[in-house]
Parts: sequence; C-alpha cells; structure tokens
Amino acid sequence: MVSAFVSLFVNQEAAGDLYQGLSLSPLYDFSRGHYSAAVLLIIALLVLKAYLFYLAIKALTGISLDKPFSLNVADLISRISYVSLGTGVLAMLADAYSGWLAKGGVAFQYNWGSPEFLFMGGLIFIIALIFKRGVEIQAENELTI
Amino acid sequence: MSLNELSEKVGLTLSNLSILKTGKARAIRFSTLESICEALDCQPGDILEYREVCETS
Repeated sequence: MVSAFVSLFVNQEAAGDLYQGLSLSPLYDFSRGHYSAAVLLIIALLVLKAYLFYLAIKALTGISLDKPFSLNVADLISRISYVSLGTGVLAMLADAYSGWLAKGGVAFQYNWGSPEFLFMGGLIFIIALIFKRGVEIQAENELTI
Repeated sequence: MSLNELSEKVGLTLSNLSILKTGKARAIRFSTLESICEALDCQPGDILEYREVCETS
C-alpha cells in the first residue's frame, strides 16, 4: 500500500518494485487509471487473504477437544468458505481484467490464484456442512443419558 | 430416595439426572435404564411413559 501510494503521488519509479519484486511500470506507463485499478485489486485480494487467515486462527483457537463441535466454530468455518469463494470470484474477475490489459499490449503478469481460492472455498463449504451436522450430533449426544 | 443417593447408586452425575427429571433428555442408553431400574427396583415401564406430542398449528 505504501509503495503504491509512493508510486502514485511521490515517485513513479516505485511502480517498478511494489512488493516482493512486483513491477507494474509498463502498466503505469500505459495508463495511471488502470494502474490504480490493478493495485487496488491486488491490495483487496491481499486484505481478503489476511482476513481468511484471521478467521482460520479464530476458528482454531475456538476448538476445544472436549467438545469440538460448537456453533461458533461452525459459523466461522462457513464464513471462511464464503470469503474464500468471494475471493476466488474477485480473483477471477481480476484475471479477466489483466487478460484484457494484456490483449491491449500491456505486459501485466500476476498470479491472482483464482482456481485455488474457488477450490478451497468449495472444499471448506462441504467441511462446514459436515461440521454443522457434527454440532447437531454432539448436542444430541450431550442429551443422551 | 434423594437425587444424590440415586446419583451415587446409578453412577450418573446430578446434572444428567436433572436432565432426565426435567424431560430434556433426547435419548437414554439401555445400560443407564438398567442401572436406574436396578437402583429403584422397578421395571422400565414404571418410569417411562409414552405421550403423544401435540403439533401446534
């Protein structure tokens, strides 16, 4: 975010090394608007990834081995699946956008990770359904004397 | 017999006995039913009753 801000308002050369060697200088030279849009998409995806990690850690810390299937954790796992699917859809749109830019003659290579997020989202959605069933079975078991 | 005495004889916790007493139990194991009948010297029919659930319209 800092590098992007610097590249837009201070020094254009910062676009050549934004984050971990990512260079968007050709895109910056092509169009500042498209460069801003691409940077915003990258930041949005990184924020969503960070939020996924936060939810995952929250879910893991909420699990008790004594009674592992709790409604709170089930909701968190569902939320992880929805956020992951949403991130996958956004990454897919970003991929299409970067493809369109590449057709326009701009060298813009970035691994958005769309198939991975969609696959992970689908998998975790199924796990969330199974976990919710586990909550029901655990509740019934607790009331079995 | 008090709940404490029954709890000691049957080997159930007071909370579980309370769940049974208040009718919140969803199921009972045969082993638990056997222990209760042995402690109370009765038959399962003496402590179990079928009631039709009235569906609210």
